[in-house]
Amino acid sequence: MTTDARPVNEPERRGGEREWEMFDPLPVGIVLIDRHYTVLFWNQCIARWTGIDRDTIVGSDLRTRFPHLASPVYTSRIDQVFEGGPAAVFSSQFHPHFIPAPLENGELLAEHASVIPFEACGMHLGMIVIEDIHDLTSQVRLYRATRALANAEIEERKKAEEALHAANTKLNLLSSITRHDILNQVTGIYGYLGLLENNFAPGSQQRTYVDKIALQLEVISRFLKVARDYQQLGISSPVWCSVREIVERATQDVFAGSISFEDLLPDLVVYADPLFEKVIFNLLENAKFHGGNVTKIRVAFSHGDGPGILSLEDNGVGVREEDKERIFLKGIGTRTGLGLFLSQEILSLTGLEIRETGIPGKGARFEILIPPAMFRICSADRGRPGSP
Amino acid sequence: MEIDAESLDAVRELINIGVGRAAGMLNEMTGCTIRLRVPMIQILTLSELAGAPHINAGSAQATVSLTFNGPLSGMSALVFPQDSAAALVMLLSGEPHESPELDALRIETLKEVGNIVINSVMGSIANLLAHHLTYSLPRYQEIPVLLLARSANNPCFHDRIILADTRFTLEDHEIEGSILLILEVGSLETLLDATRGVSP
Repeated sequence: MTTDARPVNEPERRGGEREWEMFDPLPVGIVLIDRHYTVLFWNQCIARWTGIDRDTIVGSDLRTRFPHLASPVYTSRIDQVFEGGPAAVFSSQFHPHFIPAPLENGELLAEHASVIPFEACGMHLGMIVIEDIHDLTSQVRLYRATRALANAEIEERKKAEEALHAANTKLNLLSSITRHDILNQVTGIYGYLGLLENNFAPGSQQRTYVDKIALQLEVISRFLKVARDYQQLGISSPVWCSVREIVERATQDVFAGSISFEDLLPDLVVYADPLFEKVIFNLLENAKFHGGNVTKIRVAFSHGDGPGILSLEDNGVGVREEDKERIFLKGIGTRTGLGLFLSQEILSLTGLEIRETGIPGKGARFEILIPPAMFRICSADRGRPGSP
Repeated sequence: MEIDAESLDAVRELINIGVGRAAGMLNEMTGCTIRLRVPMIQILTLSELAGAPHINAGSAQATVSLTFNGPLSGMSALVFPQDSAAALVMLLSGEPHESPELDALRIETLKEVGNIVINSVMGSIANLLAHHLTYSLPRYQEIPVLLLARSANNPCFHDRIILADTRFTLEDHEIEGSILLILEVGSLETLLDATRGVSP
């Protein structure tokens, strides 16, 4: 192994210094030492970082100036370099301040150091290269802290979701049992009303009261049905729904072939709550029961850069201007047990919106606005996509 | 080339001396109690390396490597699966073992650990050869071992590979990695001749 036991003398050092000044402009700290840890060169960068001038430190023992470097943790590895071994690298994790350099804020510069064999003046020297990794260290630490915080939040959210799910399951169960019990009572009251009805002559005041009670029971039953439908909202995960299949099925069920159905739909699938089918049913039932003499239903889809528009229009009496927004309010149009309010809620679960844009007197036109990510048009040879 | 069991034992001992020294340095540096040993050693061709168990030569691994030239030429590398590398660094640095991810600081730390192990092993070999070797700077790469071997960019490197399983044991954890010595044609003979020269 090569070792230079002899210290570098001053004329040799001065001879080399002229060449080593080429290290001055480098943005890394460069220190040259001999086998005895005597500083032979100290570039401007390390002088600036440490506040120690070259003239002050050259010729002195680096270990005297920085006593931690006298520890075997450093010397055993630096000595290996002088003995002909490979370069030694010192990470900021274990040696953050190889040559301490104070910053303005009182901290010390985070450093990565390497000790590299260096031949000069016919001597085997060691070149210490100090890199500033302060910003990198701060950024990585910040990133780690942010990630730890995000992970903790995710954990907390998971726990909250599980608790909510459990609470929701219990509430649904309670709601279902309560609804069932009320319906049982309502059925009982219907039975007694039937018995009472037979005791009063048609047109009598008592018979009028019986009819009013029956009507109010019907309203209660309808409310319970709405409550049942609302309870199912969002329980199942959204699915890709084939619009044509749903519309054809709903038209057949609601109108039983009594109207003309114009289908202008492409092979459209929409990502929506499974109750999407009920929304379409509801729109067609509204056309049947509120549309007057509806004889034609047209279903179409258009899309450009913005949301896709699924439209269902009829040739009935349409919706009056003053009712166009009101029909989507809670408590309006619950005849079928699923008003437009609920339809709107179902659609909103996957970001879909609904509006009425028909011309009063010429027919109703309901438009469902579908964000681009929530619909797909399948070519004939493609199956239904599994997820958005 | 036939390699007798005695020569293989001598190479294992040589590498064990190096890793033993590295373990001492790591203990002193980190304050952890680390045991580092090489239980098994194999001499393989590149195609045999591809099929070697444990090494998973086709998928990316965390590697610290350096090349050397002289009477013995080739590449020396310390190789870990990435999760193991991150786990090792976190154990050594006392970080909580929450996210075994190799970020820039952990890579820098792993490079130092690799540097210590490789330097100690190469130190043992150089001492045995009693010749000076020249070395490149250590390099960290996430790369399949087969590509690493080829990246030496010297067709002669693909002669023989000394594959040494390494086991770092600390705090009830045992982390397995490998030391690879990818040798240029003729270098293995040089090394084996040197070991025979010191054998009793």
